[in-house]
Amino acid sequence: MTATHTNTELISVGMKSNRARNRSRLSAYGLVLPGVIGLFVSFLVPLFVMIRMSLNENGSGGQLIETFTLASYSKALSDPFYWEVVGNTLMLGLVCGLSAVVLSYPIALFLTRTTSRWKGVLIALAIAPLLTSAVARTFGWMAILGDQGVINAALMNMGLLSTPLRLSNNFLGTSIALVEILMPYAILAMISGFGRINSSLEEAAGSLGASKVKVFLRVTLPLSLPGVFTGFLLVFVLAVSSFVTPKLLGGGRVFILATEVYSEATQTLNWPLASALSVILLVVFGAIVAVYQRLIKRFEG
Amino acid sequence: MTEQLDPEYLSIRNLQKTYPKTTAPAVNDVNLDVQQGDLVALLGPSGCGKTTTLRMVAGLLEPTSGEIYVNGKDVVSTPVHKRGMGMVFQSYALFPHLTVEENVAFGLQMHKVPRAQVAPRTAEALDKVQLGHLKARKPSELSGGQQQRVALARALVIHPTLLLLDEPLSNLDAKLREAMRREIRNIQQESGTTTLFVTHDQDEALDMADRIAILNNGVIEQYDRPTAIYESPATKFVANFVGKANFLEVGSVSGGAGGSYQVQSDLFGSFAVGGASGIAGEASLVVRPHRVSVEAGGDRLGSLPTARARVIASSYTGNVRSYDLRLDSGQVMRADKLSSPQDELSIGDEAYVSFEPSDAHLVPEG
Repeated sequence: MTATHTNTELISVGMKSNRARNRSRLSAYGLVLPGVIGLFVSFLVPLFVMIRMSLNENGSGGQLIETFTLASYSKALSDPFYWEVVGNTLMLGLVCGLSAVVLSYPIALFLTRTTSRWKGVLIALAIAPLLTSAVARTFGWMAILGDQGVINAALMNMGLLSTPLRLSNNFLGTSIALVEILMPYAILAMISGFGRINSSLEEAAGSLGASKVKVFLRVTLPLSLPGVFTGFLLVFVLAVSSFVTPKLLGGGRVFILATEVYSEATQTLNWPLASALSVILLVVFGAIVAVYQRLIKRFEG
Repeated sequence: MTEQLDPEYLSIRNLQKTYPKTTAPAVNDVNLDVQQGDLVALLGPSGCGKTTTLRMVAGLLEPTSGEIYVNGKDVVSTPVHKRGMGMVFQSYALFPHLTVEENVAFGLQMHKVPRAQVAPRTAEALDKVQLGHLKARKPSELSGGQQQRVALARALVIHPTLLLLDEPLSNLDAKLREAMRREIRNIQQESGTTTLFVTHDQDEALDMADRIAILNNGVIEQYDRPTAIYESPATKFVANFVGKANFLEVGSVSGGAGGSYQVQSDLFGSFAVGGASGIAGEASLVVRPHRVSVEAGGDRLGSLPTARARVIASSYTGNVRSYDLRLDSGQVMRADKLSSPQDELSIGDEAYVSFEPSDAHLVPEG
């Protein structure tokens, strides 16, 4: 009797917990729902509209002909200019990613390590540039790098130069400004990635006979690589999709996918081509990022 | 010739460390001599300066002043990577990105050991700690005890001039800790490596060390063999820190030649005891609880110092029965007895406490 009694009790308890579990699962879905709707409306729908647009045809007078054709893709992919644009974009991403990571590495390492009571303030300072818009900072760089900018004016006034250095309206100026603008992201990513480096690991390496350089190469650097890879990826992605800085500091002479999408959409009014270029940007760099992540994962074992 | 004047393998002279922005030194005028092949424990409460001392010997911390001689050579100005000491960290500090084998081989590679010798020496070191079969694992895939053994193998494989252990057992559970004590001791003796061992655990120090240095507030209170530390503590702090102790007030102290004193106590009478040398003023008598005898009722035990007391508390841990007894002076004494089914005292019972004078030890007050 007692046995059956406890059995039914157990079962009812089990049912209750099952019901409770179902309810909590339901409420979890409920909590996710607003986010899913938001993503759907703000991301998936526009993406779908863009893909649909890229399959339309651009009429001779710039009017839009609704149809299903890959004409814009074949135009983009058969034109060597657009291949060059893809190449430029890739190059900009690589140059900015590498430079930002190299410049941010010591800063991030210092900020992770310092025991100063100003540590919080220093970290805030390192990422404070994010408080200013990229547009403002780009104009700032134009004032510094321009033909009559701070650097050239100073060098010419000192008599070191007779003609200004070409620091703006080109790939170099764009890269310099983008690296500065994106560095805070690299620093943040690396700070969070450097957590694995424990100072006693470096002390252990030292006690085992490793010089400071060896400690860095054999212990600190390998352990910091995950943070470095994340920082690089973040800057790479932000650089290849950047628009304002290449547009303004490139002076119309830096052709990357984002600037081409803009000019096709607003000047030529070829929306199908602009959309096709956007899709190409998404697919090509999405693939690069996916391969990169795969490689990193294998590297980190 | 000069080498023979200095038979000690490790000599620490007037070592001092004052951390920036502090006034009191963390290590204050520490002197220590360690003979080759010995295992010396630096024992003390947290903040006593034991880890600071170890880190200065390792070269991870620069002394404010003082000298550290290893084999007759002052190493204070030698950077950590040229000292050739093996260190085991409290957290083990195994390289998480390297396998067990690579961790152990690291020191050999850094010391530019010929490539052909690295693998066999690594294998030998891993076999010594019985981990040869796990050499391809990453440290994160090992248990705490296994990580500890890898750390030990990694420190010993370079044939260090000195093995430094910083609380190596504090992250292990009690059972494993006892097994590792034995294992570390065996490996240390087999390799004959002179070892400094930092711990706050008195059992560890008593069990493993050839000599123990008791540190308190940056000062060595006593440096001696484990039995001497326990049986003949030099100070009240040492007596209190190592093992349990009753401190009995004594009225007057006289004598002192050869560490033998005549003491006069109101309750226990007059008798002769051994003690720390040079006691002049106030002194306390250390009597270990398990050497206090408790007898119910009547008979005073002949010639032994005896006093009347009342049981005010008792505790039982299976093999030991402990009593807290209040003497007529108001002072409370603790007595530990191996438990037996008979002659148990109850709270409130009157009893007589006594001890052999040879089991008591006089230490200076304060």
